[in-house]
Amino acid sequence: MKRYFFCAWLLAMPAIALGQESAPAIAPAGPGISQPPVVDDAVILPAMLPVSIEITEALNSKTSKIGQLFDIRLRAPITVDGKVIIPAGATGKGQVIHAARARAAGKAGELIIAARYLEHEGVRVPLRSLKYGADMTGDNNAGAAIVASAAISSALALFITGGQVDIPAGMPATAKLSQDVRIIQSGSNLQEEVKP
Amino acid sequence: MKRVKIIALAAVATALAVSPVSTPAFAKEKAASTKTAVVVEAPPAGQGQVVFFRPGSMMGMALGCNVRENGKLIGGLGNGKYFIQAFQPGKHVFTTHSETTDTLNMEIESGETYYVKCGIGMGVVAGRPNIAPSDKATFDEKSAKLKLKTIDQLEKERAKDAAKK
Repeated sequence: MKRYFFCAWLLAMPAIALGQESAPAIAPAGPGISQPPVVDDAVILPAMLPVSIEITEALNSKTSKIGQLFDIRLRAPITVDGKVIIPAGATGKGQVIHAARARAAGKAGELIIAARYLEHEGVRVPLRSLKYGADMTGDNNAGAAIVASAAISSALALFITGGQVDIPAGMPATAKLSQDVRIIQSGSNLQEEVKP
Repeated sequence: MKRVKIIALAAVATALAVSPVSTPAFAKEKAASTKTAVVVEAPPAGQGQVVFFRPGSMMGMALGCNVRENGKLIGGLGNGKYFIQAFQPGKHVFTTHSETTDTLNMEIESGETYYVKCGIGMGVVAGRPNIAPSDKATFDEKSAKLKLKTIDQLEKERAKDAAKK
């Protein structure tokens, strides 16, 4: 009889031991016990999200070369639900698509540029739809093409060159994200947007 | 007899007085209808489009402005004409040729509308067509006076150009 009790006790032991081990895991955390902090927080920035940038490098239809890269900078922070995801000042690159200097016969200078990307903590945020001006509504459909005005009024115009296109450093522009971008930021880096 | 003359003069005077009122009203209506800027529809899904236009001008009005890509005719722009062409996104190089060849490099993005203006500049022997980037504001300003070249017209023109080669 004692043997049967001993066997039953032996069989019951692992179950008791398991129950004791699992109990603390199920128990709710009491006061003073904090959950581990969330280290990473991924935010998806959607494609076609408008961003305000500025062209930080002076460009000219006479000196610019097709394919040349130039510097751009984020003017206003990219925010989601009031949280700054990419702060103002993030840098990136644009590219010259077309450049033609002014020529005789009143042919004006031409310049077409595109925004390529912004960089933030090692992540490239691809851009498209560059438009001149700070209008973020998307109504400004001027496009990122500038042609200088040309004056052709007489035979003498053959010897008159049209104007060159000058884009001064710091010129505001808008662009859009060309695809969804996943930004992973540590919780400490997320800041509340400061509103003046 | 005098009474008849007076009545006749009165009738003529009335007619003259009425007609200047009706004519400007008609003219205004006509002007209002022609001043409306062209509304350009969005490009087909997944494509971008270019509005090629040539404002009416006395200079080189008899000259054509044939826009080509890789030698193939996209369309000819007569004086005061425009056409709209959809393109696959990516780099495109448009040319127009006369005494010299003028080239315009573009990068077309899906969903976007671009504007390209053709102007005729001075040449040594003949005028030089020049294609240059433009914008919606410039097109809107001129579009009321421009005549659309339809897709049928463009296709006929392209077939004719291809047959020449």
